[in-house]
Amino acid sequence: MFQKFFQRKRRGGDRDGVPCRSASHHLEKNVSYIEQALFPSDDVKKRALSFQGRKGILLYIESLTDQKVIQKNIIEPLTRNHSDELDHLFTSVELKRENDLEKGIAALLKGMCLYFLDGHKDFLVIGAKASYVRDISEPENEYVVRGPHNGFVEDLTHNLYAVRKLMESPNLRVRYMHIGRVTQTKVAILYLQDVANPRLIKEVERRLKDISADMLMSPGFIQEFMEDKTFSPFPQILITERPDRTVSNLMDGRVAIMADGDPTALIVPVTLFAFYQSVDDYHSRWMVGSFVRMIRLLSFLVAFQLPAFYIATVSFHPEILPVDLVFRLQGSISHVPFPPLLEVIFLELIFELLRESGIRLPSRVGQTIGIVGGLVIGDAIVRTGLVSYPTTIVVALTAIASFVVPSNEMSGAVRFLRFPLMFFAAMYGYYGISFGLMMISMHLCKLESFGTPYLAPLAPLRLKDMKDTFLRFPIWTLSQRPHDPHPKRMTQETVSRSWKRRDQRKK
Amino acid sequence: MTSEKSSISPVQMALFIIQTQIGVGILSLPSKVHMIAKGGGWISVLISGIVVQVLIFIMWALMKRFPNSTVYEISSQIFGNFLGKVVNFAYTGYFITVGVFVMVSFSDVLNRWMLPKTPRWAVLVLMVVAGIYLARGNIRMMARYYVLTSFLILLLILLVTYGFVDVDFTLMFPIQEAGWGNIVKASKDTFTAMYGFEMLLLIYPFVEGKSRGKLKAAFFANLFVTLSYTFTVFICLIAFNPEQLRLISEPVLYLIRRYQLYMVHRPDLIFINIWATTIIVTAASYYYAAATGLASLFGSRNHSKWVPYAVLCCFVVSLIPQTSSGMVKLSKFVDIAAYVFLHGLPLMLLVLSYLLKKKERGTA
Amino acid sequence: MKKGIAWISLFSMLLFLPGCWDQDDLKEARLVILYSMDRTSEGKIEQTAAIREVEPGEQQRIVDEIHSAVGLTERDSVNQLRKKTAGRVRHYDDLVYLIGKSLATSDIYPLLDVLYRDPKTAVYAKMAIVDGKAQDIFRIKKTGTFFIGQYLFEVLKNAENFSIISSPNTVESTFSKMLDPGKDFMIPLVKKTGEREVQVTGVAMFHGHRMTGRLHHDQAVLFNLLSGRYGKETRFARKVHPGNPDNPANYIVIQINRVKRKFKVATRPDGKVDVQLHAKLRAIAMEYPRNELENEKKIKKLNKTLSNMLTRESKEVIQKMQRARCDAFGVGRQLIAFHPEVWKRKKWSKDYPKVRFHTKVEVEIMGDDLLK
Repeated sequence: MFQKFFQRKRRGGDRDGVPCRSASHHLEKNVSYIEQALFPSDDVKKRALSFQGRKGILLYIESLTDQKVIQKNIIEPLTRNHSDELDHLFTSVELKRENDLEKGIAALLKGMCLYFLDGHKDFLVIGAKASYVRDISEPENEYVVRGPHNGFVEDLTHNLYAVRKLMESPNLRVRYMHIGRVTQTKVAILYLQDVANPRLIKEVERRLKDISADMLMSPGFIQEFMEDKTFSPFPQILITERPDRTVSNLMDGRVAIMADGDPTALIVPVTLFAFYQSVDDYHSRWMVGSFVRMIRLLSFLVAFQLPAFYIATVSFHPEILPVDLVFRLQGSISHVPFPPLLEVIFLELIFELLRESGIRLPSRVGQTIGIVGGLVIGDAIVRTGLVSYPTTIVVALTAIASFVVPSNEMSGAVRFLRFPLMFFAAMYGYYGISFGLMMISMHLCKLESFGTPYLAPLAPLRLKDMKDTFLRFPIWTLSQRPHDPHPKRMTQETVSRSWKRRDQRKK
Repeated sequence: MTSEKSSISPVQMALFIIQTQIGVGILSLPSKVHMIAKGGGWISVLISGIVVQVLIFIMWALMKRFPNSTVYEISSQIFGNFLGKVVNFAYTGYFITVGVFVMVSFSDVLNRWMLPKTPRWAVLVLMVVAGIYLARGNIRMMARYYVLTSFLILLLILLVTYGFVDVDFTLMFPIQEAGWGNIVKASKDTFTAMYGFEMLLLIYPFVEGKSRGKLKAAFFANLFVTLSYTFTVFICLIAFNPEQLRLISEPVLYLIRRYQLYMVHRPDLIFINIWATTIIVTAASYYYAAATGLASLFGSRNHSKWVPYAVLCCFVVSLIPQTSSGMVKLSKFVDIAAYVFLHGLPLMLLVLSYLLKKKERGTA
Repeated sequence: MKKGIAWISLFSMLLFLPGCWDQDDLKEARLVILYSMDRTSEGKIEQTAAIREVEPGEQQRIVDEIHSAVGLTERDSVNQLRKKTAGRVRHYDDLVYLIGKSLATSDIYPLLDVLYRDPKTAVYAKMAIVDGKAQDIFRIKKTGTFFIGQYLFEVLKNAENFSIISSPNTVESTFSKMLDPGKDFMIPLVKKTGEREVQVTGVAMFHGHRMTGRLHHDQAVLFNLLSGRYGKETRFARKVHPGNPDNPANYIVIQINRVKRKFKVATRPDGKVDVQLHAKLRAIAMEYPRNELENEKKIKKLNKTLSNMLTRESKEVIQKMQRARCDAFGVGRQLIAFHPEVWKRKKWSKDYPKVRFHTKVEVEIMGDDLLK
């Protein structure tokens, strides 16, 4: 409580540019203050460099700075000791004197180096930002229409840079770990100190530490080592390649896990609905965003229920359909030699085959596969009377619906689930579907991801969080964080539109 | 006993009770009630709702004296070890019997309306599997699922409301055609459809909050069930004429079969499937109750190991009554048992606990 | 791990053990779209069914196949029919259910009971009584692009719109009303009037379980208006000016847009029953060649002429209904509900004709819907 109060106050001071804490004469005090503020981020580095016999310390964040620049512009001049005056010594472009430690921290987070000299009341801020020139492309399976188009790359330092860039907060903590007895893969845990629940962080660390495999190939390995239940088709960890998605999840109080050599961030804990939220929802207008999200959630239902419903209707309860539709259907399916179940499974498997072969091939060959599969096989199979038109439509619809979800793992889960459902539908009709849906929903209720109910905020029901589940309310109404990761602070927005109230008052 | 992992909120408790109460009885309730109370049938439902309120109050008063124990623990505290075990055995038997009753009636309806040729065991196997899976989880998981599925109850009520399309209000008059005596008498039949509130005896110690809040939640649950039953019975009474109600056994389904919903020509099929979900949930409650009973009989603290045994018991027994006369016998037996276990024993326990001045010592 | 294997084996057992007991494949079903019941000369029941066949392929040509079979009961005749037809005959998509007049004058309860309580029949099929032999209607086969089942369905739907019969007119609604001791019902009466034509000539009045009389279609409309029910296109023509009946200028065609009715059943101490039946019809003129509707006085006169005319006609209708003992207004229901002690003393099929109706119809023309 006390600590929270202090932290908020410090943040407030930071924002308004009012100096909060001026540096002292003592070198150690200054350095330890900054280290305290960033504690325990392991990527904060310090190096002792003396100047004219006086003790001095250089501070920088490794992931944000360019080592070569530091060496050339800071360390070399210091060791050669050309000038008497400190200000003229460094050959860096950006150079400033500061005596507010808070500003120093902010500068540090921007990729500057800080140089403290014992006995001086101020310190130097020297620019040494890292500038990576590696190609940053938009993640292929998480395209957005609007919003940032950058993605993670294989280099961990760079990924951390991307996150830090979006969130210049001293409360962002990065913890390194080396996992894999042979590979010694560098894994970073990211979280917001003042928001994320300490119990969650402890739990993540505990599970990561427990991994004792020779090799760690993220993200699949980490996921299966850490997940609550592996005997489940549903992914309990969100995998994303987008820095903005990662940052917004960090802001909710979740924890991100990134490994070197892998362009993804694993985010825990997640709920089912997180998989159906796209960054796009927040970039478009809220009504449109809500509408699109509803369609996406509808696709979730369609994707695994439609074939089952089709089978149950056609082979158990055709009386439920209106007369015109019945005869239309009957005309198209009566010449098919297989029972509906076989027909649907047959076509679904062909579809899965096409999809799988399409992924592994270069895009041009992939297109050919699409044409051969979609047009040639699709048309021929109906014309020879092996499969009926309605079945083709059903399978095509489910295929489309299963790809709407902006997460590959979830899409896989949904595609897998329709098979058991189809079997039950073919045995018991609608009753079988009821049963299948019950089992799935019970399973979802039982699932937990790092202590968070998977179906939150639907079960357990929490109406307040519904604002950003099925619909996306305007952002200024979302003044509270979602409850499911149990964040330390709930408020994430106060009155951003107070200008409107002021306008009204004037009138 | 009440660890953090297994506590539920009063709202969850209310929905737990609602889900358990709304069960097989509702489909045939209008016919049953009309047979005795004629046009005043809906009043009988209200009356039995009031009776249930009183019973809930008695149970609450009992549970309040033992805020950390289920009925199984209370009985052994009051009756002593041996007699308590006997009582617990009886309670377990009762829960199993009700479970059997639910299963048999369910498969009966399903066989008549949707799956005429599917054998009973095949219908029940699905129910049993789902029931085991649900009842094995801790009470918090169950409660979560109950809250989730309670949306379906609203859907059911909505479907029933559609029945208003073709009604004749004169059909409910004269209200006291059968006389007040019969109206009160008919409330006894309604009582069968109201079973489920006895879950209070089992889940009370797991509920967070003050005892008054819990009482309120239980009252609210029963109020909701009573009102929705009254509403359903009322609609059926004004939608069907007396002869029809005499002829058909599940008026609610006939009511829904009457209209076509846009593309759906047979909404009753949809209704049955949604209803099936609530029935499976009801059965799961009884499985849970029976399994807890078995666990306490054998001195085990974890109920989930005993769920398969309890369910297997129910499953085997429910395959026995094949004829409709067997069904009638079963339902009569359940009725008598309900008097003992819902009216008699809780009251007796309460009185004894006052007389013997037994009360749970102040534990956390 | 062990648990997982247990679950998987349980599920696979579920998958392979049972067959599909209740499978009722649509592609094997032979769907009856129209069927009828007649009484043969030996007194048995003859069922005729039009089974719709859709030829496979993109064209989806439709063929109706017609079969008849004689049996002892409804279900028996269905069974006999199935011996003659290929595939599984299914009744869940019936559009229309016809009953021959010869059968309707005897008890139709057993025919409907089995339909009503079978979960796999279409209880929403429309009902009609055929004036003559129901089987004959099947010979029409096709009118224009409509097959006979569809054609009859549309004709009956129009009859509902024109208020010849009140909606819904289905197996379900008919059976429900049949069971009500305090209320009788009517079923539309159709007749084959040409080579390819069927007409709704009126309605058949029922008392209890059998047909006891008929109303002409104009009378049927009036009955429906008196009972407060009207379709979307309740229209009729009346001669309102004296003179040559062949001159269209002497006629008015009105459409009823709203009906307000008062229906009061009162009993006297001596057990006699009085019924006050007062209907207020709000109408617009659809066709009135004289164009006098701007004139207030003329409208009033028109209203009065129409009111008197319709009141007189209603009295005829009610007389006819009482003769047929058809209590379609539900006077008995009112007695049961509000005067149960009177009802208990009555033998309704005897006492209903003695009920005194005080009928009054008021017409109010609100203008016309023609362009000016």
